[in-house]
Amino acid sequence: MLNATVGTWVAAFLTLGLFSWMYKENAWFRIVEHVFVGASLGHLAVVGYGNIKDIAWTPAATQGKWLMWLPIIGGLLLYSRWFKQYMWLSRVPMGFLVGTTGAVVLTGSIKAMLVDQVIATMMPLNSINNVLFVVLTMAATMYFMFTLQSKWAAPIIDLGRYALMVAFGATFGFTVMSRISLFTGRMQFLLFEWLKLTPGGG
Amino acid sequence: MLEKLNNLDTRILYLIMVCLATFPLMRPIGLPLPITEQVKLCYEAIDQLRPGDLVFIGVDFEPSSAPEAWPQLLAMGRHAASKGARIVMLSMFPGGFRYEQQFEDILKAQYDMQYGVTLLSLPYSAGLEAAYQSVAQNLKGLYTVDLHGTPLNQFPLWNEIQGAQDFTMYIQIADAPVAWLRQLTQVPGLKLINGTLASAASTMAPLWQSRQLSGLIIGMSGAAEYEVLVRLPGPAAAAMDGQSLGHAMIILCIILGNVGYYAAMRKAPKTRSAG
Amino acid sequence: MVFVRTRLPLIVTFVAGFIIIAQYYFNIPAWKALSADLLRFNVVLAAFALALGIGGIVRLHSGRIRRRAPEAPYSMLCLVTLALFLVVGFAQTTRGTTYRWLWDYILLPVQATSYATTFFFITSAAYRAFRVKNSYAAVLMASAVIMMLRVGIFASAMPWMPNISAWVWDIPNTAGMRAVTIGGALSLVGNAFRVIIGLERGHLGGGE
Repeated sequence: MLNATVGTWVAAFLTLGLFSWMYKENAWFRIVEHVFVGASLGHLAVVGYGNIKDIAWTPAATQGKWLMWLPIIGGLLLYSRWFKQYMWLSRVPMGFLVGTTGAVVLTGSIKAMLVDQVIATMMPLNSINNVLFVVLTMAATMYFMFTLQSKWAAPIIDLGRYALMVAFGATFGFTVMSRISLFTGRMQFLLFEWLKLTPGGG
Repeated sequence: MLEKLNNLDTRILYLIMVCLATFPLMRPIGLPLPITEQVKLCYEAIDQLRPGDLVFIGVDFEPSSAPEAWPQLLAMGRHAASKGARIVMLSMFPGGFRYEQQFEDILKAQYDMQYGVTLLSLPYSAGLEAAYQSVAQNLKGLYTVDLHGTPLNQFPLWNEIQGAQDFTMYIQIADAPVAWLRQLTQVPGLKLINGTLASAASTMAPLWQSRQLSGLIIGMSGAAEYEVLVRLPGPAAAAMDGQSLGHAMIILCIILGNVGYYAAMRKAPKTRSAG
Repeated sequence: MVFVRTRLPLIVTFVAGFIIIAQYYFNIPAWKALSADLLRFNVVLAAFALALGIGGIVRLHSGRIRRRAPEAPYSMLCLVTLALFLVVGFAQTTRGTTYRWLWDYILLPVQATSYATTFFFITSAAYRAFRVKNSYAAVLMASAVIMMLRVGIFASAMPWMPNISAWVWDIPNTAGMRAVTIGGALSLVGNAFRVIIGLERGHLGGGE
């Protein structure tokens, strides 16, 4: 209980410190900012350590799965990037990491983001909405063909640009929603957990 | 006179916004909440779960998105648990582990779920998209221990599972809008449900239209709508009043800014161009 | 030595990428098992990579402390916080009660609040930056306003507004975002392919 109370006050101090920047730059904000950097990096290293221990170290060291020594050695070589004269040692594991990630993204994107999206655009043109949708999709896609220079294409590309403006406007509108939600979350903490106020009362 | 609107101290606007977003938390107004089609279909998809169906819940968010994502997790996760589904939680984000732990405690307490038999929490896995592909293709090869460090082969639920193909549904509460869908869409018969942040809503629109998703919940408003549908009041519905007041203020800021700008432009002396 | 420093990393990138792409198209069990192993290696390497940022931060802040720069006290605080999380985290992992306390009451509030401050930035942007100077900006603003009017007060005052908002989201917004999605996918596929065949080498870093 004491730990939770002390913790709540620490959390409130850190929260208000970050918000204080909105008035002006000050030492309180800079303290919290530097705590943020240290804590974030520390946490990343800790979760990485836990992951390595569970997936690689324990199987390799205690269960005889010698194959898992390969990524452990490769991972340690990654840290040679911290030393300029030994940086070249990190190229093989980095190349492996990028190659596998690229392949995973490539195979996933082709179906989910390309083929399925094109198929979904091929809808029956039996309503105004469907016609409008297909025309706007094709017009917006044509906007990205930067090498196409044609007088007849210009009005269609312009229509596509308007469709993109609607999409970006919708993104902005939803982003406003999102940011208000994030702020409300912190206010809920400050009001109900720190100050122990109750909604509808004092 | 109107050109003075161009030079307002933004700290005044900040103060007004803070008051508008905060006041309804203390004095709820109780504004109506229209239910969108995406949320209705999401509700129906989860409502069709049968007792014993296996469901993944991807707790893929950080504290920075928790105000939106945590209510979504509460609403959809509790609905799935109430249908008797067996739940396996996992996380590909470093901060997700804590929310997994908290939700696990809620499920054990409120839905009498037995850990290891009807509920399992898997630990964080780095690599993001490579980890999602491993889940899709080689689930049992990726994980060896659970979130608490216990070897997974001690749990009857884990021993029963062959792979992702045994699962009926993947409910993703996501900070990374699309990486998970690219990989999990390859699992035949797996229904995909997404709780996304409002800022990523437009990104998910084409994936919703193509029916690659069986349900889509957008931001805190989507969570609030879901809370209304499942009749389980939660943190989202309470915060929605402040949301609409905040929107009104933003629209006012846009109008004020443009009126002030154009008034200032009209009043500014016209200058000759050089040369 | 030139082979190890320059050619070998490109060969490893290509072979690893090729195996994973090939298993997607060819249903050969041994190939799929090899690909599963490679993905597990990727997860382990990614876990190691999470801590790479520490080197740069330690170098930066320890330099400030050594030089007794004005920001040295803040740098000391940063390194002390980093050390605290590392010591407790390596001793207990994320499962320990002390580490959970640190996460719940230090990292969680700063992470949550840092994003919550964007609430103020968006207010400032709406007031200062959002200028309707042409028809494109007008359409963008109209779309943003329609999306914002779908909840709460506006939905009760204008019951038809959620329907209009839903139509704008379903038709023109989805059409525009589909074009962005397809364009983005083509770009991703192209770049991934360039990396795998060795045309893009930026990830290999500098050095001799």
